[in-house]
Amino acid sequence: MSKQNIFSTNQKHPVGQRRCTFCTNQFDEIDYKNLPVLKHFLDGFQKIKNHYYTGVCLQHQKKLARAIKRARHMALLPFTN
Amino acid sequence: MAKKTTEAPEVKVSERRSYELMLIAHPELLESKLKKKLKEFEDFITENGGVLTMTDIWDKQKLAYRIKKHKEGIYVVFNMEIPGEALKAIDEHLRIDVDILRHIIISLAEGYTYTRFKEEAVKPEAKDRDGNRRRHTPERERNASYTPRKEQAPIISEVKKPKEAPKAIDEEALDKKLDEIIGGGDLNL
Repeated sequence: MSKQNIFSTNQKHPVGQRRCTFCTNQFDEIDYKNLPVLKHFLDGFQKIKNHYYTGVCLQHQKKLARAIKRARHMALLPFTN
Repeated sequence: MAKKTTEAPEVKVSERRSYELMLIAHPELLESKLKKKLKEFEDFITENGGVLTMTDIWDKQKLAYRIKKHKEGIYVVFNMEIPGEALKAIDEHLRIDVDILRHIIISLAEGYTYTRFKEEAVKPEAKDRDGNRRRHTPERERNASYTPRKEQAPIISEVKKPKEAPKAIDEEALDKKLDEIIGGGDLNL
């Protein structure tokens, strides 16, 4: 439960200065079944947010995108809204 | 050449890796039929030299979009250790099966432990975390403002009833007054 509180705290910082929440909290494995985490990085249209706005580093952004696409394939997340 | 032939079977044994398989079963499958299918699938895996380490059956769940005209599906998750060559056979086996809507096979990292994520416990918190806190308070205020409006509505109806009664009185009084005015008006004119 504490792990999911991580993702709101990052939004306190301004857009350019956000650090990768996965790196700072050692949250390396991004599971495609972990929907509450994935939903933080989805748009209102269920599109993947740009890492510039979320502050995710490129390594974790790749893992995140892969997880979200897997979840979409298994109908856990919608492609569009 | 002799070296290669000796190496090949050794590699097969060592190539057994851990995979995760997730499939969406037909929503109208009965439990007995589903268990039969899963048993068949276990046998199929053991024939191909694999071992099932974990099975997890989720409840019937809503799909995010329709698959083959179905809105719901039964999710089943396997963790298994299998030589990679057998994956093609499993893939075909699942693809041909009519009662399986969709499936995915993923290779797992070494230190992977299966955890089942529950949305229900997280949902109320997630709403708070999404930055909706600011939105939530005005909504409550609006709701609070809505309730007095509902209270006002009956008051208006109460006010209307007395208004109707004086109108009837007014009409009678107006007739009398008009008669008086007309009577007096003719003289004035």
